[in-house]
Amino acid sequence: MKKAICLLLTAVMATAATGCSPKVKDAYTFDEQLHASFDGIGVEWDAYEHPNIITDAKWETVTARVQKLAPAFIRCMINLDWVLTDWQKGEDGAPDTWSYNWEQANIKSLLQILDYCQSAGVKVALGSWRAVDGWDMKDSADDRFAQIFGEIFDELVNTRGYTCIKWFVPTNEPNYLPGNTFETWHTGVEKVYAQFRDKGLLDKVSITGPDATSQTAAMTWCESAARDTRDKLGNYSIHLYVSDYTVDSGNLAENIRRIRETIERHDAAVADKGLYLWECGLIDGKNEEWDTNELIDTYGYGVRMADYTLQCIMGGAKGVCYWELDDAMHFLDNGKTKNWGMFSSLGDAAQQELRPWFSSSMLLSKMFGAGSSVYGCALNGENKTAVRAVAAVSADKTAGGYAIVNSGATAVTKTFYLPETVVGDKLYVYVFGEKDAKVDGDGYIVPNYELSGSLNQTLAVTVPAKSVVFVSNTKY
Amino acid sequence: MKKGFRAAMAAVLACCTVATAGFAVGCKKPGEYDKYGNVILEIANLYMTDLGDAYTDYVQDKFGVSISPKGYSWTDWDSQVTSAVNGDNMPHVFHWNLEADTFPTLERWARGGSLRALPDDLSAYPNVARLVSDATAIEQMKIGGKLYCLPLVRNPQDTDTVYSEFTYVYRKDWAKRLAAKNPTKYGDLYKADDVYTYAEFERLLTAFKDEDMAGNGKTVPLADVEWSFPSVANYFKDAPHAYVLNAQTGKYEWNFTTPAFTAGLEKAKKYVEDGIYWADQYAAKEGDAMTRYKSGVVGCYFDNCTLTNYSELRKSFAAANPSVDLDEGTALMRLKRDDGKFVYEEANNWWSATLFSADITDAQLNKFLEIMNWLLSDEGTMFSTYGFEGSDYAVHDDGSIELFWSKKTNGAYAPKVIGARYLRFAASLGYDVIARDPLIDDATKAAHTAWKADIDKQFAANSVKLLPLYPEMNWLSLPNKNANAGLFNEAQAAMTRYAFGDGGWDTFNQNNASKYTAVVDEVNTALGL
Repeated sequence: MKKAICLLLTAVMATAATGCSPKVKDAYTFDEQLHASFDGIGVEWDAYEHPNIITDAKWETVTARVQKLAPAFIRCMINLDWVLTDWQKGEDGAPDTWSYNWEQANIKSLLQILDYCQSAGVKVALGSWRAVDGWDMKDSADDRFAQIFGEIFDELVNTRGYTCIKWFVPTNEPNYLPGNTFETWHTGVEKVYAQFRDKGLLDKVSITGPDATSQTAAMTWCESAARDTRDKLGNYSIHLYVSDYTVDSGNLAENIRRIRETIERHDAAVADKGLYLWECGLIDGKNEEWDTNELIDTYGYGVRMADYTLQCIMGGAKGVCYWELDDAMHFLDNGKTKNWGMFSSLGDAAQQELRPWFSSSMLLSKMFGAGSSVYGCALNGENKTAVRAVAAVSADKTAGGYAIVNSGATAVTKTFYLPETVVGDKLYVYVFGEKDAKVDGDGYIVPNYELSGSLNQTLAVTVPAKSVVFVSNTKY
Repeated sequence: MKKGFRAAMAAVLACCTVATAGFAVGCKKPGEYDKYGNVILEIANLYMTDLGDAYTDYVQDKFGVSISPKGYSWTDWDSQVTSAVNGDNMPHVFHWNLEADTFPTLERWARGGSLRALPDDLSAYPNVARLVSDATAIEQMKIGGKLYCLPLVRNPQDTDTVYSEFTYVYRKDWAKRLAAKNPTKYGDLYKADDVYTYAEFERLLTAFKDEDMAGNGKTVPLADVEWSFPSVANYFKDAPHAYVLNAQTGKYEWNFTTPAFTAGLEKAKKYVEDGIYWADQYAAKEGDAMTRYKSGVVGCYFDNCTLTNYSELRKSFAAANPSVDLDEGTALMRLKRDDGKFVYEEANNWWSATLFSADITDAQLNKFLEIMNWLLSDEGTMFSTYGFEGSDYAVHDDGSIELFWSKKTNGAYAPKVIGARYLRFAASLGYDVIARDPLIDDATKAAHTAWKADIDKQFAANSVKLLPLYPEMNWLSLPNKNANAGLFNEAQAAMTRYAFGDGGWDTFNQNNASKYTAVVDEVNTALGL
């Protein structure tokens, strides 16, 4: 392993010393523009189910970590019965009545998150897990569902000024809701859209959907949504939890491409609206009984999620939102947390440490920031390669870099070249892998190497097995 | 695109064939194919969810199908299936708890036109055909000569095993401690081979209690998985369920008033009175007894010790009792009756069945059978067990398997979601796959295999009392028998109340005498006894 790192260092120094890009033709050139303006990386940050466990100290830690992660957006879901109160059935044909409790503990947790996002410039997708929570409202096509969300968004966006809220999520994974159909979901979207229009929200908030999960459902629901609901949607949303094999084989990029093309056939505006992976993760390692991923604290999970991210970008997704930020957000009936997070705010100090995939996600989030131009290279077209590389350059050309993932069992050395001009004469090299990653006292990843040089020079990079190397002109 | 093209071509060919045969109607039924030409197949069973895993995707691509999965929940499985059948909105392929007692319902559904039968000729699907031909009671479950179900064979590699894996898991470490503490009194209660006579078993339970092996008065000498109470009756009775064939009269009779059963029930009652049986057994909910055992306070625990169940118990026990030798803390007892025989309940070599909606088309049924045939093949079995060869595992020249699955930080393999396993459950419970499951450790497999090998030896030595299923009686569909199918469960509840001191057992039997008498009269007449 040390040898591999030495090779990297030597190569960088050699190219730097000889004064840049002498043999561009031998390098993988980042010249395939994948996105002129990528929307960035996000994370699921839900209102806490038991907000009392998030003490001020824990909240401070959570927000410090979110600040470090620097997501471009978050997805935040709530239960309707947290905010609705005093529901009265209308008698003799009179409409039902209800009121809103903005002081409810979970809703205060939501507002706390919104406050952070508003001040930090983080965009928010806000929605409800289900339409039903104890009333006779069976699905999202119910008129009352639309009215309620019209009123909630009116309060949050128009009255309280949370302009960070950019999208509405009309129920989670509607293909999994028992008895639900696309037609039901579509009707619900139309009704909510009408409410948003009436309340002057449409220039501030759009609806994202269909939020269907699994490749098959994503294909079918996205096709229906693009065909029938495109005028009401401002963003296309899917969830994919995939096998390691799907990532390692490189099939994920093709799967995403198929979904994107399916949408594109009906809605050319998807390029602007964006196809987002609003929930994503890996199912290998999933403990069905505990709804936990037993690999969540391994470097392997981080490497694959990095690979997952690059393949989403390559396949045409404009945003990638990780499931999830903090274990402490969701609990099973037995009181245990569902462990899918980048960390847990609960448990002892060791349990609260950042998991490895926080580091890889943070590097991706910062490298592939909102508004950046994103480029692929010929390496990615090589059949079933275990190595993929994608580059990004910020809109103002001051920041850029590339990520190279190697999911194979042996180290590889490849030479890269980024023709898009990026200012700066220093390079920071982060090696994310079980044996090489370096973290500081707070658990944040730090560069393995700081070198003189430019992204616009050729660079031979050795990527250890099952690792990701990030080369950036910015210290994250 | 490639997938769509291949499947679309197949559909075109199918159309041509049908057209040649002279059908004037269209060759595809609505909902039979998706837009890419894949056959749509709705499959529901206890194990399915929309996994989105690469392994399900592979099967779909390989066979040109689009599988729409649905998972039933244990708690309302029967009602979900029943309401779907009654509402005529069944999935194409669905899973139901078929057993002898529920067979009349299957018969009603089949005769009512809700179900489609399997083809008479399964020769195109030899692995499926073999399972069908090897399934026990297969002739009894035919209706009008047709088979309206595919029984889920427990182990495709071993269809000869026809007993249930019910036994006691016990604290051999406690027995060892007792023997060391007082060799004179307890020395013979530690059994290296785990073989106990009933008298020794009884002394062991008493010793567990007297010596308070768990400490602080927490010891529970004996607990049963909830559905099996009172397990000790197994070591007295002559038949597992409600009716028994009287060897003297040659006629069936109500099992629960026989002297043999009564002796077993009285033994259970005495164990309750003596504090041997778990005091909360009466009110225990599903899983409570096992949870108690896992916590380390139970001496003997009766359950269906399939490899899966045994593995789960051992994993949890090990986590909760790290200082206990796992093999000794979860030893599998070999217990004899007073007559020196080991006791097992006869069982079918299958459990539950897959049914087919009457609306399933030829193309859909054929695809389902093709998939099952492949999943039951050697290649499909390896795929279901380990995943993709080359990526998930390799087979070396010596036949050994090298696994490439991801490992957790503690070095153990992490769970792997292989959807093909769940699909395969539509034809088999997959004991053959489970036997090689990398997530079950070698020590657990070895302990279970050794126990099963001992059972084989017991059978070979004619040392087994097999409590018979009486298929010729159990599968009869007769008015009184069908109407009183629930009597067994009512009796079980009544005997539990009785054992725990609430009485009423005699009254229960008296009150229901007319019912069970009508049943046995009807059965004996039907069988010419």
